[in-house]
Amino acid sequence: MNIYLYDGTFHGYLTAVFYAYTDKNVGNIKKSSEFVPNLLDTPIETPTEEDKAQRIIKSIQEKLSSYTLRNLYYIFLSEQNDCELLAFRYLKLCYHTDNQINLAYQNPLVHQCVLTAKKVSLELQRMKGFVRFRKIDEIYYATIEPDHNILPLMIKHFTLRFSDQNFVIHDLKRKYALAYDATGKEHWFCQVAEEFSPQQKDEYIDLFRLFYQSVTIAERQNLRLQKQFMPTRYQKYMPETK
Amino acid sequence: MELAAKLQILADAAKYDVSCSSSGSNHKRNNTTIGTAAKAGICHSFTQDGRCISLLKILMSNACIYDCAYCINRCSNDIPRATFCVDEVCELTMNFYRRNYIEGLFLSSAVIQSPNYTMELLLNIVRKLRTHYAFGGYIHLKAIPGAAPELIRQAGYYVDRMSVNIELPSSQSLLSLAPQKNKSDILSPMHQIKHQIIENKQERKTQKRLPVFTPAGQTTQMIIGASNESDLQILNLVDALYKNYSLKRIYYSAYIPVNADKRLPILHTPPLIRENRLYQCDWLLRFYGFQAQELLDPSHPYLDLTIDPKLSWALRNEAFFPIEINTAPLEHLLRVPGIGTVGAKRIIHSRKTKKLFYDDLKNMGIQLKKSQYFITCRGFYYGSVPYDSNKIKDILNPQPTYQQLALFPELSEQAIYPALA
Repeated sequence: MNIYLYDGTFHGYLTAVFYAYTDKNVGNIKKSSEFVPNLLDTPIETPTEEDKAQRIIKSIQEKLSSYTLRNLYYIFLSEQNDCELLAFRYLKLCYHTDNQINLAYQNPLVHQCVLTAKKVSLELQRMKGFVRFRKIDEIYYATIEPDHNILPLMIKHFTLRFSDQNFVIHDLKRKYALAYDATGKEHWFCQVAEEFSPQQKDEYIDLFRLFYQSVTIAERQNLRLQKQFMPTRYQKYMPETK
Repeated sequence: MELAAKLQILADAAKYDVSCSSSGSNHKRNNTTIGTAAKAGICHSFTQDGRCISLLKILMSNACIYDCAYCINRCSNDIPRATFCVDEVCELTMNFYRRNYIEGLFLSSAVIQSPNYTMELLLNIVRKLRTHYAFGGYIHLKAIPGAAPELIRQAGYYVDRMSVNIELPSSQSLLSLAPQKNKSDILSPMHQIKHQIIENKQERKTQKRLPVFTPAGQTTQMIIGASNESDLQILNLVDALYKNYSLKRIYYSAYIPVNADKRLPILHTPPLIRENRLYQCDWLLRFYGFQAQELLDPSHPYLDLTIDPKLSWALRNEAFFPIEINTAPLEHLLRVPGIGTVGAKRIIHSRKTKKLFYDDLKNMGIQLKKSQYFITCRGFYYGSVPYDSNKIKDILNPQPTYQQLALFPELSEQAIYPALA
């Protein structure tokens, strides 16, 4: 079986898809960093080729739909086991039938893709609310540890909303951060390994904690419901729950 | 008084306002530098009672001149009183917003001095947020019943959503529990807001740059269980409100005894299940094409607390079911217990690609626990018991075979309502 290896970027992945598409013996598509050599599989390195990636994107938009492209990207960002192979099989199925296959929820492959994409969009929606900034000098700094790699999807929402403040959202799990500069109105990603933990005190954290406790109606306590909406793993970086 | 102490008092006083949604508005305001509204709304946190914190929900003041029996802030209660000044509310909102704690502001107030005076103070706060702080986030403002229409009109252009609480579901109970409020004071601002929204929409067709009047519409709230109206009366009122006032939402809040008053019922626990059933009915009216008179009728004025209203309707209308999944129109699919709006749309979509088998439904994520008894697939019925409403009811809602006997059964179950004057 041929294992296609790419560099970890979405365009790199699309390049691998480009070469794997005509191959009848595809075993998997993997990041080069995650590949463990074995006796049976032949690894094939596919370095990112921008024009190949653009060709695929254009073809999907013209022949299929932007919905398919969105699904493909979300599945890629889910970072679940073998999500690359799932997205590849989904794309192949779409080309073999046509875009109508997106309506066939009873198809196990389509159903699995819809579920995976939904997990990512649910976490994105949650994270839009659960990110907590701390004010450190003139920079608002937040740390998150999402299950899926949703930082690239958060750009639009946060840059539009906080267009006049400098902020950094730091993904501690994947060790990189989204930074935004309000004067130049531009954003970029950077590799940051360590969490930034200053001694500076933010008085509004205490005020929000106070507000959080005051609006609870004790007679209606329902911890199970609270946990259902706000799973414990997200509460780590939310100061009001401590 | 210190800011923290004020926040504690006034957030605590506002907690019985149920509404906390930040949805319905994706309007980008001109001349704002910070803040956007999200169409679907965003929940920022969840409190221990499982309700979301989306907006900074506070009262401007809790020093009320009214004496409503059910309200914690009534003037005859001996509680600490506080009033925010304009800048305190604005600073709190901006600083919470910049830290992504909240989606915007929910501002309500007790009536201080007079309705007009209170409304003017509220207007000052929202005006300052929008103009001085250039805040573009979500603002939900309570209109004070009895305030001048001009003040409400001005405020409407600064906020995303406005609401007037109807509080009690009938004018008799309003008279007995909140003697200083009356029906027309509550309904006239709702009427005004509705007409301003329509007017504004018309004007904006020719003048695109006009400001939008309450882009997220208006809502209301009522207390359930503080007076002895039946569910039928409540649902009829709800239906009329949705039809005549084009409300976006109606919120129900189970009555929680906060005051001792002989005009109020004696409750052992808040009627949370009843509240939940009313919400289910509300959804059936708005998204499932049900009519209020289908759900309840004068011979059955109360909702069944043990099963949900949709299932209860299905069991009463045996002749309507079972329906064929592959041919039924959307309106019929929506009436099947266990199939919601998402499930119904999925069925409609996927049967365009092929005729569906029963197993396909499982793959699609359709809940079959209830729906199996009300559908056929390719002409076959797959329910685990024959199609008979009694048998279906027994299997979906098994009655316990034993019973704990109580010494004073009349004391433990029902709420005791005082006789109306």
